[in-house]
Amino acid sequence: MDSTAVLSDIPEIIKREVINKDDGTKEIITFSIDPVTNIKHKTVQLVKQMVFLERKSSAIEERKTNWNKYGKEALATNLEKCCIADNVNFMIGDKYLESKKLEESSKKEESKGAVRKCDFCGGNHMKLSCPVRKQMRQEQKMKDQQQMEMEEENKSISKDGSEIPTWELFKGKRTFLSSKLKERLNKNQELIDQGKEPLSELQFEKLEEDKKTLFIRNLNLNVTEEDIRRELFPINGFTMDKIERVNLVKDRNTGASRGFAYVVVIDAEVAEACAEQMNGKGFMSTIINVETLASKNMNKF
Amino acid sequence: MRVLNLVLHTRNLNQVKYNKEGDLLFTAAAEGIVGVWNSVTGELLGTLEGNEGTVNGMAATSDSKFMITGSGDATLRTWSLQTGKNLQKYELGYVNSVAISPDNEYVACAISPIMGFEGSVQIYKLNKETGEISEKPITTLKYDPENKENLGFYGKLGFSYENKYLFVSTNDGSLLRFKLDELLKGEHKIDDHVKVHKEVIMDLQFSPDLTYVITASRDRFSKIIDVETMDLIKTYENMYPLNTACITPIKDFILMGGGQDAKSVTTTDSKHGGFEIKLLHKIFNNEISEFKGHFGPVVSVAVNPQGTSFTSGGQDGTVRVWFFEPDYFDYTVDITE
Repeated sequence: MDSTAVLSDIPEIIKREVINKDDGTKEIITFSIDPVTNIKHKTVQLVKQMVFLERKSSAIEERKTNWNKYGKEALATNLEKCCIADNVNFMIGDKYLESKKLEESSKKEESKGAVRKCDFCGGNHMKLSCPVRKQMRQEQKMKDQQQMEMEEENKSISKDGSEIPTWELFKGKRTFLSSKLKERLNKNQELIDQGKEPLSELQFEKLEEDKKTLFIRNLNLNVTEEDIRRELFPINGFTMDKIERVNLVKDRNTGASRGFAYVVVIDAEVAEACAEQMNGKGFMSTIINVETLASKNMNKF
Repeated sequence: MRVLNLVLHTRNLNQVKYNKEGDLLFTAAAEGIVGVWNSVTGELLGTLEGNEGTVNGMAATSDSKFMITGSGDATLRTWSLQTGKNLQKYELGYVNSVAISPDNEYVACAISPIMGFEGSVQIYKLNKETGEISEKPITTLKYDPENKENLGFYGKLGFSYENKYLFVSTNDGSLLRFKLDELLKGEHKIDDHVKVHKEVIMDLQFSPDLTYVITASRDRFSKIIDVETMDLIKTYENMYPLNTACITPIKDFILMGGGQDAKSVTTTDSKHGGFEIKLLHKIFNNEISEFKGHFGPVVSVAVNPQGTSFTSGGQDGTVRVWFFEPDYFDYTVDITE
């Protein structure tokens, strides 16, 4: 009985168009009428065919499934026997020869004689006896002293006798406040009203950054950073120049995608629009989950 | 370039080898342990324990079921690679190297005239099903120092294609060729010999199709020799003494490694010891690239039969697996210039 009900629910297809595009993708447009409500539908499907070939030897597969580990060292699970070495530069052909020439020429210069080179100004003397450095140090000392004196004068003490934090000092003294600083001061004022600790400059910046980073989960493992840049965003109506950077998280050992990515867009408004638009949409045969990092962290607490 | 460090051995490596498909990697070291690794992920699958001396040579059957090791504790042992169990143990002498014929019919081992043993090459029959070798050798090719035909005692071994020849290197740098069917009948006559090097041949490896041999010697040279005609095809020179050389599949390249003696290493910097593995073009004979990373002499180098990576073992006990980059496969030589 169920099956007949389902059959009658299937909309009647009137027309189907298939457009082959130059970049290897297909666009399928179908027009249909819902038999129950008699409403016309137009559905557009973008199809991209991808083929992944993997050759497997039967002998290797058998070894993988049937063989057990043996030996003292292999059974000791607490010790890792394999580690990734430092990243090694690989150059071949002309590139390699050029780099080798450079190395040799630098070696020759070194061996010509011990040339004294000051790290500070580049002159022919030791760093400790550098006259430029001496002068700079004296000036710095003078400046520091002056600043100390200034700060001591400026330190105003509240009626209770406790020091007033620096962020509140800005309010009265400075005539011009940048928009960022204003935001921060306002935010801090709010936090203090709620009885929480004010944020430092770094923490505040991180909050700002979090607002405009998107956290995308449940990606297909074959998706690359280029795919996100060139396909996921343009399909949903966001041009490529709205993206600042994309970071697809990969496995350290195998280099394979782990299925989630961080995308930084130009500002917080775009990020929220993106999250609203793309959350729950399908991309390369999986349904992705998109949210801003700020909202993700809010949900955590 | 992705590089894996395999941490197991505490003393110097003697040989690294891949199996036929290239998914398993075997490392033999002086503390008497053979490590069996997954060559892609670097996972340690097992260790063959039981040898009481250094493992000088090893060879796996082409179906990767059994392994035969020759050791410095004067034994030749057979192992099951699936379970890691020792199947057989024969006391023969200080075994220098082991080789299995391409069709898994015969096992040859070279024994050095040290510790009171007689130097010889012995050939055994191998049972493909059980992995056991015959109790007595089919023939023993004895090394007689007084006979002028014998040029030096035997070092490394190798079978050519279709079980046709057995190649034996000697410690004075010559390469001997025996016809295998004559040897099995008991006729110990040298078919052909060439004086290839001035010093001892450290390594003898075959091309993927077993039609030519590459040698590496302490006299700084590596040479390619045709199996059929015994002609010298190519010569490659290095700045420092060589320990090992091999031919890469897919691309026409040569990998060779070596370095100064361990004795003089302490007096030199690692930059000046020549511990880099060199990549040379097989045909044009020029240096294309080098792989830096070892802090001591490189003892053995082996290429994955699929051509995607290679492994090197050092005298300081380190094993490194190097995975080639796309640049390596894209490299071509412009002949028009």
